Amino acid sequence: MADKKDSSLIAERSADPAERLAAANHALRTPLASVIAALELLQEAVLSRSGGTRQSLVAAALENAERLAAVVEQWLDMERLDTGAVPMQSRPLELSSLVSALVAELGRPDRARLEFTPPSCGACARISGDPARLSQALSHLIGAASNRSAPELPVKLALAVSDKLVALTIEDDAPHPAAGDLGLLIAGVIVKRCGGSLRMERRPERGSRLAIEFPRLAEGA
Amino acid sequence: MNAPLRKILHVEDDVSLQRLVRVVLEQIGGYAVETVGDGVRALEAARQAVPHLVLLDLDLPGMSGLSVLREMRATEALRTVPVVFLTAAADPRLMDESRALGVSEMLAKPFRPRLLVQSIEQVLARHAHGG
Repeated sequence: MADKKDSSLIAERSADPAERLAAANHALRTPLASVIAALELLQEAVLSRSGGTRQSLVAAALENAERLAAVVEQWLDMERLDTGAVPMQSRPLELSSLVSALVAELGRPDRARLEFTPPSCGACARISGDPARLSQALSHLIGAASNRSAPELPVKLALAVSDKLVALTIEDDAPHPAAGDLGLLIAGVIVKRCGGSLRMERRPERGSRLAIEFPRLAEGA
Repeated sequence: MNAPLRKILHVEDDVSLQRLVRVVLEQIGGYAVETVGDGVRALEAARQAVPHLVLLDLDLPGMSGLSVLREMRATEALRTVPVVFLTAAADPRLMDESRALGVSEMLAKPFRPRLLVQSIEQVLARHAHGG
């Protein structure tokens, strides 16, 4: 499909004001549309016939107001990270353990199966990073891939280690996501601030591959 | 005997907005509404039972709203079905391309429910008069 980017470095997209604006535009306007529609329907009292109830409209307005609050928080978080207002608490960590824990935490019977292939060398995927922030970024990426995928289509994660690099890939066979994923842009900023890179590649019709690379820490570092 | 309700196919991936637009269109507009969450399903549904109008989001997972419109214009049975975009996107290039493909109306999110119904009424009236 020509109107979607096929491959992109997420940190570059995060730094692009037009990309940020497009993401915020979508992320803010959709829940705002629900809030306004729900409140106007309540005001108009058109619910005497079948269909919605006052309670369900109030619930929809509240739910979407909370979504809006979450988007604002995400946006502020991205600005804080990007400007360095939030320091990264980087330390040596083993990425394989972190990914295994996230896979166990995020796997659900009603969602796509998460298949993780750790590196053959065992606990050798040592990198430097902020564990809490990396968990935030990877949770979003893994969770979003799982949510988009049909339950029968697995999301495949693989961790490979070379002399200098630790590379994590997350592959799905789901339809391409719609625009407006602020979480993806934030993940790009976090990975970059941990010294790594995050690239998204899309196959022509469906399916995405996220490639996340970090410099590997030497033994004993 | 009452005339059959005019059918609107609403294509939107946000579940909350799907529900609310259905209430707006059914209860304020008096339309019959079919809702789908992506472009592929939209084309399947439209081919199966041609709607009077398609209310289409631009940013959809998988196939974009613009691709759905392009595909509709290339399909004999759907070529003249009026399409209204209801979108958060504000890219002028998308607007230009949509107009070139003959979109009937472009409405921005957030929207006022009554104005949405009025716009749809106007598009259907124009269409009925060959506009």
